[in-house]
Amino acid sequence: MKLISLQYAFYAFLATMAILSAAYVAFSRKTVYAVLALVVTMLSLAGIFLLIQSPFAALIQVFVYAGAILVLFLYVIMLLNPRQTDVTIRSMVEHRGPMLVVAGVLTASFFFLTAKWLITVYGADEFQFKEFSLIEVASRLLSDYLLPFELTSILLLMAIIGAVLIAKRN
Amino acid sequence: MDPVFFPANLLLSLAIFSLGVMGVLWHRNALSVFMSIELMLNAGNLALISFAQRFGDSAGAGLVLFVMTVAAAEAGVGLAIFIRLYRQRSTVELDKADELQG
Repeated sequence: MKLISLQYAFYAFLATMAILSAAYVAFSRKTVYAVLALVVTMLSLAGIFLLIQSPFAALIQVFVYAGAILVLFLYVIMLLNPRQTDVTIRSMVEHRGPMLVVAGVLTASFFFLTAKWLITVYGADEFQFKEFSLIEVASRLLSDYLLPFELTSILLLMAIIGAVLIAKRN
Repeated sequence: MDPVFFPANLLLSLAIFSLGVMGVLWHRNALSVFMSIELMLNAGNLALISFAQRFGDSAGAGLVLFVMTVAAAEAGVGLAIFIRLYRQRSTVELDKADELQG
C-alpha cells in the first residue's frame, strides 16, 4: 500500500513537471529556455516510462532525445540566435509563473482523478497491464521488424548526408 | 503495475499533444514550431508505450525506436534547412518565407 502511494506521488510529480514544461515550450518566446524546458519534459517522460516498467524506452528517450536531438537544437539556436519576435496573441496574464504552476498541478490531479473514475466505472481489469520482457522487444525487432530496423540506418545516413549538403556553404 | 497508470498516461499524452498543437499554432519562430512538433512526437511515444504495455504487445515498444529515429533524422535535416534559411534572409520566421504561397 505504501509503495503504491509512493508510486502515485512520483507519477503525479512527473506528470506535473511534464505538463508545466510542455506548456512552457508551447508558449514561451525565449527559445533557449524553451529547449531547456523541453529537456525537462523529455526527462519527466523518461521517468514515467521507468515507472510503467519500460526501461528500454526510458533509456532511448534519455539518450536520443535529451542527449542528441536537444543538444542539436541548442547548438542551432545558439548559432542562429533568432530575434525574439512578437506572437500574434499576447497573454493577458501578468503573473504567468505561479498561475502556470497552479494550472499544472490542477491538470495533473484532474486527469489522475479522471483515470481513477474511469477505473471505477469500467473496472480495473479493463486497464490491467500485461507485462513483457525487454528480450521480447529485442527479438521482435530483429526478426519480424528486421527490414524496417535496417532501413532506419539508411534513413539516418540519408539524413546526415542531406543535412550536410543543405547546411554547407556553396 | 497499478492499472490507474494506463488511463492516466493516455490523458497525459493527450495533454502534451494538445500543448504541442497549440505551440505550433502560436509560434512564428520556426525553431519553436519545431520544438512543439517534438512535443507531439513525444506524446505519441507515450501513448504507444502505454498501449504496448496494456496489451502486452512488444511491437509497440519497438515502434518507439523507429519514431525516435525518424524524429532524429527530421531534426537533423530541419535544423540544416533553418540554418540555410537564416543565411539567406537572417531570420527564421515562418511568415517571412512565403515564396511558395502563390
